[in-house]
Amino acid sequence: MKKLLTIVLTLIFCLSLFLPIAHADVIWEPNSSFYEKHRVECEYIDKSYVAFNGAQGYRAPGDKKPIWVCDDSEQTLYISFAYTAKDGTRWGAADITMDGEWVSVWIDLGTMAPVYDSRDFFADHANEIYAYTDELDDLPDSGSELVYLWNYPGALDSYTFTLDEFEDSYGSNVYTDEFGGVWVYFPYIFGADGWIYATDPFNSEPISLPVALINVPTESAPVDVTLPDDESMETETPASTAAPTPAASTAAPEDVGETDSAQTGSSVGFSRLLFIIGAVFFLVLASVVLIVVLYACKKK
Amino acid sequence: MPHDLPLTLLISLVLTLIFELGFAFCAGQRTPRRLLLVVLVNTLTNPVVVLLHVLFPHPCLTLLLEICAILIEGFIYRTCTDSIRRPYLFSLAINAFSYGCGEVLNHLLPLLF
Repeated sequence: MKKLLTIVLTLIFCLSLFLPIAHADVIWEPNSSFYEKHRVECEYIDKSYVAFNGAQGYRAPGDKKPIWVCDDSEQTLYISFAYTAKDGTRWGAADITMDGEWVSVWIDLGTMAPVYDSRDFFADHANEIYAYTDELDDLPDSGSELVYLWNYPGALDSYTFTLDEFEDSYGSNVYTDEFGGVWVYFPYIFGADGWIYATDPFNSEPISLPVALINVPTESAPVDVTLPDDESMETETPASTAAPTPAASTAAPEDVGETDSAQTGSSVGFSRLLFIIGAVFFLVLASVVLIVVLYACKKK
Repeated sequence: MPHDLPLTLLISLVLTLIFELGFAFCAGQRTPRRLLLVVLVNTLTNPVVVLLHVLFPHPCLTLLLEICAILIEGFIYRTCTDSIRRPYLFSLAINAFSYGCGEVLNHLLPLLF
């Protein structure tokens, strides 16, 4: 009996080593007393914004005295939750460092520019995105060449992976740009998502496409916001000027061409991955139980 | 480049079972109980190893996972059966055989199709 217990505990310990994977993508909650009180009214938006010089952060929405002012010409901040005040002002909670400590501050979202990302791209091009078939089949299975993963088709930022590292990752959606270039969306690679330019996966230069890099802040911004004078940034106001709401950023299934799920590719990929991890876990658990049964039979 | 993860996991598990059951059979482990044990230890370790390899495809992690799998399987063989004289060596051999067959198959299949 003691031996049986040892086996079970050892196996449970071994299994527990693999458990953290399922909890890797937790939702980051602001460390703010305002958030604690208004948690139900806050909306999870999970989006990055650019704060410009002079943007102000408050301990709570509506406070008069800011506890943080953006000193840099621009600073990209991750906004986890947003709160809409009674006057309609949307406030976003961002974590910033003050005196070496992480502090959550509330910033008027109207004073910042939302960073255009893959979700926006999915929403803007919903009818042009279809399911992945074999667009990357010609890509060699192994090698040390670098493959570029872009935030969205036409983005300036990219991650790189070698073909060896890239092996066994899976694409979910495909987009063909205005110039016939084919892009494959990967919902999950090393904790990130992105697009590979299937027409030339090894191309390191950003592909110039007419997509917005950032949206322009609304005119009602209380803080004097100046956009950086950068030729590489397209400042023309896109059709949807205001910060995209989560509903707008999340393409419905019927909107996403031939995609077969009710969410964006990213959500689809992550949900699918969670399901697979769950299935593997139950398979492992079932095996453990049967092995213990076999052991018990041997003892008898 | 496989993009269907469940299918990848399934094919990997089925091929591993075929190779390892064949090896175990040749090594004299022929009773249903012993063969069932081979199936169970592989169902326990293979999907986890393959899934982690797919998510984090680094050679060092793969090596570490394979070593963990060998040790866990060896421990189970030692505990659950008396018919294997050197369970850890058996585990090492059967896993090396299975891994080797997989590698050969990986290189052969593209030549055939």
